Amino acid sequence: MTAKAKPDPFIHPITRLSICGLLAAGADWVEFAALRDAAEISDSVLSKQSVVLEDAGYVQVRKGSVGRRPRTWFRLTAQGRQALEGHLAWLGQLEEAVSASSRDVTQGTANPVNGRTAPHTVPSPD
Amino acid sequence: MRDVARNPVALDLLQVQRSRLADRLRPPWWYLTGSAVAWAVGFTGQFSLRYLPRVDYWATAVATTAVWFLLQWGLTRATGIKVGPRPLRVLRDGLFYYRPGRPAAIAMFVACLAIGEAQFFLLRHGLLAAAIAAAVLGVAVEVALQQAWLREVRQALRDGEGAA
Repeated sequence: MTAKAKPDPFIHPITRLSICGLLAAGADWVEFAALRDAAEISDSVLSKQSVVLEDAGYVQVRKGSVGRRPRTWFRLTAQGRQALEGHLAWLGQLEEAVSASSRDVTQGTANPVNGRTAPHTVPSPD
Repeated sequence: MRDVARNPVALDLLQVQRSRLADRLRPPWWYLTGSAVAWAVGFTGQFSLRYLPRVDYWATAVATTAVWFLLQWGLTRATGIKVGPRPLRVLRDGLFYYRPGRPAAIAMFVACLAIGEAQFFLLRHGLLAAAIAAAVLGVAVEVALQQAWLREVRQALRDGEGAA
């Protein structure tokens, strides 16, 4: 399956991109502490961003406990995976466009139009 | 399955983060010890068939499977990462759907069958010492393959190859 390249406002912030990228690595479920340590973010940031991703339907959250200690597990949904694929494809196009234009500048053949479309701006999630 | 993050823009940061995640999946000492015990119990099946006919073979198979799942559960709790067989898919598609770490998982299965058959052959010919040696070798091989399986899983997590 090839996802359509398009920016996703929910995934674009780097912390959410990290969370989705880590969850897409291949593990079925990843625990809160493992995700927090791997992404090197604080508890509060992970809580806040995971709620946004959960509300968007990109991340599934399972809450449990071991004794008195609460444990939260995350996994990427099919919708989240598709959105991540699309967003990364868009980032790839952006990177290509940027490197092509910097090549043009280096070669002294800079052309603002140059037959390419400008990279998209990311719409706000609100 | 393909890596959704195999992309030059996002990969630099994600690779570092995925490496950190994969490094958490190093098995603790009790996991390897428990695995060795589980395989040792499993390989006693042929001996019990021969010398203890009143002990059911399925009992050792169930005990081995139970210990193995208990160890997997413990590893998941200790590392915070759940990987491994998805029971319904394994039932539906067999071992060939076992991802990530499929080659090592298949090797474990094949080695288990081969060692079991070798023990059966040796015991039928009254070669008890050789059968014990085969069982000991079998435990070592299975634990090594289990290590290889976890190594493959870690590599898959690093590369994003286990992406479902």
